Amino acid sequence: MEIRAEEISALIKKQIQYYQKDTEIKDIGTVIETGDGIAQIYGLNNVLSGELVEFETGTMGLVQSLEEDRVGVVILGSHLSIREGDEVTRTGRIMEVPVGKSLVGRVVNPLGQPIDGKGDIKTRKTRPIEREAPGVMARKSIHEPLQTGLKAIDALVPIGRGQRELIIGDRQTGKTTVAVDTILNQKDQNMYCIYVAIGQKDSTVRATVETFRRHGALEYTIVVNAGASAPAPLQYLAPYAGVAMGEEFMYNGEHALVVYDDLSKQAAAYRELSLLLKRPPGREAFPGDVFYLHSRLLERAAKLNDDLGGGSMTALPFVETQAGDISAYIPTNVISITDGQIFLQSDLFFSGVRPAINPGLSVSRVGGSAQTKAMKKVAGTLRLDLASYRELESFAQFGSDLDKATLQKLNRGKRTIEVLKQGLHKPITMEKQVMIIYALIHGQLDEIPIEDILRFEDEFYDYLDAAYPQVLRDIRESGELAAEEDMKEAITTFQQQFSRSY
Amino acid sequence: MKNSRNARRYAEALYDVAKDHAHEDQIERELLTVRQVFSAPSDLVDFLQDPKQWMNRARIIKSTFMTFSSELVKLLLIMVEDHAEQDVPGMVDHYTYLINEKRGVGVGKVYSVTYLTPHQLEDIEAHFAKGFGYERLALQNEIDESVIGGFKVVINNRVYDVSLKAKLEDVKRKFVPLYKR
Repeated sequence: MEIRAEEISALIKKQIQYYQKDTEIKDIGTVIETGDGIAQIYGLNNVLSGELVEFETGTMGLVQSLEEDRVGVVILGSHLSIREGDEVTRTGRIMEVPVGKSLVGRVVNPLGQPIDGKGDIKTRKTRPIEREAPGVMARKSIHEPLQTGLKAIDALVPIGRGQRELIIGDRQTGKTTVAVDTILNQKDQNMYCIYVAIGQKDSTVRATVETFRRHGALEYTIVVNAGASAPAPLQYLAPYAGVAMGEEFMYNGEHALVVYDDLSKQAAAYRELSLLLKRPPGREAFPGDVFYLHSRLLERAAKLNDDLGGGSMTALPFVETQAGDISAYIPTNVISITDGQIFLQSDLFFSGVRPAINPGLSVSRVGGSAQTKAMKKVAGTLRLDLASYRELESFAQFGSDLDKATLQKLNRGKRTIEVLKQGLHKPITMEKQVMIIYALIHGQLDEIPIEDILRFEDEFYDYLDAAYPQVLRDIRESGELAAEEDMKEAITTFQQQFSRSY
Repeated sequence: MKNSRNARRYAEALYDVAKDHAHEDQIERELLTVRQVFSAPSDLVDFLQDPKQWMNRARIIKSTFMTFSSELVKLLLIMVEDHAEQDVPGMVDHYTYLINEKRGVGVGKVYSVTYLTPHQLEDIEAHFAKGFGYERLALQNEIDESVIGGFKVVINNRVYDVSLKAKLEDVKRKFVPLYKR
């Protein structure tokens, strides 16, 4: 490390200036035990829970458990240089992270320090990572949509700004893809995104960041990364750091989207920490307050009332299930906290339905009121249609003698499923989603062979852009359906020129 | 530090009983002797822990501390019966702490490179008593060359550090950014 002489003299000058103020009576403690990122400290009599303490080496620690003659501290940073007998001092501060717009486009660790090699983050603003959630009167009902750009979500389980929607599924079912696509679709939507990666491989996070950068999404995104090699305390803190950064936008009347990928890893990190702090284990060895761990985090997502600026923070927590078991401890907890869940299933994923959303098990408890009128109109019966198709599908396997109405329903169902499929990193704007679903529910796709549906869709969007931009604009600007004859005309004219593959 | 919690319980109980009988000052003086006898390495503790002397423990305590206050002897009997012989020094320390807190006296240490003159020590005691929240301080001067210059007052896990070492450490710390620590 290079130190310049003027730096030293400036520092000493400052020291002389504040000589008297600098020294005060401090509470100290002594390390009596350390290991596994945890230190037990004797002394520190008046320390607060959640306070930062400083070790002799300058490493920071976070006070977690207070006992009669000792306090348990989790070490944030290198625990290798901490030895038994070291002195520990109180700082009187609680943990804070830097916040603000200068973090946008950066990759930081849970302490808010840059890890992308792009230099220092120039911000003076900080926020405490633990903070009370907005109260009853500070909130407002959710009414604005958050466009994910995924047809299956925007039509079936709409998400509103300020909502908490759980994304749950086994490993390798495309959970992260849903979040990445959602973030990609927030371009020009007046939305700041925060992607919190917890316990993931650094190479995966690198690839995700690269995806953001390639699609221009990094311009409005902050990535908080606590990788698999990060110590458990940092993995435990990462979501709180992310939520603090999101709050800064929310309380300034802006909109934020925070993705926690994923909370089961955070719970596992917290379990590790709690066991090392000798807290009694409960179900699945998680500590007793693992529910509170997640509820206090997710409760901070809100839609604020107009007096407070009307900002919002949407939370998309992830939970990974083991072999589709949503009745395990963490999944049931987080399901009960959130305003709905999107359930991704691996058998759907492998049968080619991507995103592999199970419409039967997925719900959005508040998003319906945030859906645009146009989308509500076309998607109203979609869920029921799908459910009855699933029912008929298993039924129809028994025989081939089906009446016309049943056959027609089966036909429509197959096409519905086909339309809800969507390619990787290809978010679709709301107006185009409305158009294709409109065509679907009005039977305009019934004659198109199933294998042509995807191609039909792609070409249809291009056609609309070229030939009917005013229809799209009408839907986008009014939020309502365009004039019926215009929409019908757009669909039928395209249908006539569409060439089937056989 | 081991079992210091148990030692505290005994000290608190003894202090309460002594206060009821207005014996606390006498017991404090007696405890100094007790501490010496029980401090490791202690022949008495070894003797008490010897299984062969199992039956004689109570008699030994009674005869050794014949002239001491009855409360103190009874406490020692209880502690020996509980196999808490090794906690006795801890108990004495906590008792002294309790009685000094009651009197408003802060007992602690002041570290310096050379011995402070009695006058300097008095000055320090008078100057910091209020800051530490006591009426009076009873500081013991200890030599610690790592202080380099200045002095450092430590009372009950609270510290006032105006040593040169602390200043240098502070400067050193400011050069290392947070994320590299």
